[in-house]
Amino acid sequence: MLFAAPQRSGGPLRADPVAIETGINEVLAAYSAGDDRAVESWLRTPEAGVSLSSIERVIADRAAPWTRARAAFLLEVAVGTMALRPAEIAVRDFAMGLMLTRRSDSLLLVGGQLVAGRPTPFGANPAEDRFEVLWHHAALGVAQGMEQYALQQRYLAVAGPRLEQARSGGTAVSSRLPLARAIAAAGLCCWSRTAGETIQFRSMNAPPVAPVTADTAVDLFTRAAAVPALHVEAMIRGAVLLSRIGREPEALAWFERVPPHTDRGLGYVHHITLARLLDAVNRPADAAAAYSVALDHAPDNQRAAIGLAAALLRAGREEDAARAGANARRLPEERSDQLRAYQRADARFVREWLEEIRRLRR
Amino acid sequence: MKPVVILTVALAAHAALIGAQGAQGTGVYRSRAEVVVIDAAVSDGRKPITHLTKNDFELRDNGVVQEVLDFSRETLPLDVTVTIDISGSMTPAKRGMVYRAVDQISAALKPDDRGSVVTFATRVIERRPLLPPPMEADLSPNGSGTAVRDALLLSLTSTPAVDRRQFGLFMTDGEDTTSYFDARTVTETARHASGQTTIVLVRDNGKLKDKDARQMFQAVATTTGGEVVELDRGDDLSRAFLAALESFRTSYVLRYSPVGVASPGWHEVSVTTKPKRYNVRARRGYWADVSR
Repeated sequence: MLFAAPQRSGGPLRADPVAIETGINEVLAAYSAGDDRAVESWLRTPEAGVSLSSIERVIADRAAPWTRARAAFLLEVAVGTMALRPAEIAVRDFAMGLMLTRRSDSLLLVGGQLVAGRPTPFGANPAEDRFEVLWHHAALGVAQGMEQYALQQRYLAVAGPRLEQARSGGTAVSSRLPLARAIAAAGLCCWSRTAGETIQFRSMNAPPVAPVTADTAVDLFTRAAAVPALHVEAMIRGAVLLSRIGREPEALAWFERVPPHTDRGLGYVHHITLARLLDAVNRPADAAAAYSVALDHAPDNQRAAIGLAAALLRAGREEDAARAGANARRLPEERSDQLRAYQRADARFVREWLEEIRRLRR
Repeated sequence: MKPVVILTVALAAHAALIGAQGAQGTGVYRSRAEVVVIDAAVSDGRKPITHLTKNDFELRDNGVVQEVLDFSRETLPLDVTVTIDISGSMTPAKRGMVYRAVDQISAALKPDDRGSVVTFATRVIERRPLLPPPMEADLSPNGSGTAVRDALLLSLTSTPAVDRRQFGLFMTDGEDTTSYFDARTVTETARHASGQTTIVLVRDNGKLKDKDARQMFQAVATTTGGEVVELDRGDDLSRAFLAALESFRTSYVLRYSPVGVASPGWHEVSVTTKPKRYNVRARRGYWADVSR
């Protein structure tokens, strides 16, 4: 449990600022010395509960020398915080969801500024450059994992100019920021409280983000799709957005331009959304084929199985529909919710990026 | 007293087109000799009308009067699927009521009939496959969401059978929280469904306010020849289930071979009685030759 009650057998823990600073520095020392699990283990202790609000002050102390370990430490805490995501907490505890959002907001923004303020400029040290880009990616992944679009937008205001600077200074930086911009914009323009989506918390001490239109979001997906490494995902996400905002013919046209790919999570959302679009334009046989591909990507997914059965029925294939329906009713519990994973975007890469950050911090 | 007429015309083998040769086995067969089978329940007020003959019906397919070739009542065994909302909004008291209602349905089935139980919350789960009675099923809670539209959509995809009649009882409080599919997909799919679906809305905090949901339930029920039954706090669910089953069992089964109407496409079907016009609850039509 991340926020354990600040109690222990010797009585309640006191929020002694010196003890807190010493405690945080001890964990930082262990982490800097190579103990990858130091932060994770500490977060489970009662001490972490009372120290959490002091972390930025201690770690991002301007008087302290810049180290990658210091910056990585903040990210570790943010990732650890994500383990209790507002998405799930908000359902039972709105106050806890709000508190976690404010904590992550602060950790990511302070950490982002710390890493952006490193002494070496882009191009001087490839390992340091890589560290910074990974940090920005992971921070955005955490914000995307929390499905908090204003937070993503605020973080992009920190990371975006840095990478622009690198580019204008002649350093080629491959990044996922164009896609992250589009994802944040799509959330801001077109988010609606529907089943399975997260309450959008607003940090009280954070400035409001500017309104975004659907056209801007679509335009950002178009720009992201121009980056070869982001093309497939940007096209799929753009098509899904178009479908959600009721621009079905454009959505279908975007889907038609998605090249073949092997990403299972994206493949599921790609095909189930396409199937619903085909359903809507009365092409049940094509819809059934698309549901079938969605089911190949996520064999335990009941939504795809139900969609397949219904599309087969509308296509006049009653017996196939009945078989597909029976299969849908007997599916085991889905191991992971692919739609949820899609909504959480780069959260799927955060662990992997954090591993690399851990290697680079030493 | 002015007669109130309820005629239920359910497309038994679901307005499916049944080839004469195929009628010996189960499944839907297509041939040149297409036969449409329709269930029709007739009533005068709440009183079922059970004395009619073939000649008392007038059946139209896309507006063209058809000759009823064959006519029967209560001869074919039933396949009954009970789909039950067990989401968080179902209180233990409501669940107890549902257990009793399923028991009553089970007791009302004949040895040749078959019954199945499906539950839904976030997911739809088959608790008991289609088997002869008695029906026993675990109705323990599973998941906190309520995917009403998804469950209703799935319930429409039952197996068509030539020698059996299919009836679905769908019970819910109507409050959808997690469905993926929209009402339009559900109502459109209902036009292709083979069985008849009756929806029992169990409400204990007033009428269902969601207009779209209400329209969807009504559309599914009327399209398939079923009805929407709304129960308030204290109403007897078992009685409602049994009345719906009885109405289906005692309905007339009419068969005809469409003449003078173009195929394929949607066929609007209407059934009336003559000379006295009773109430007819009827399936609205069927799709022909979609896959050809």
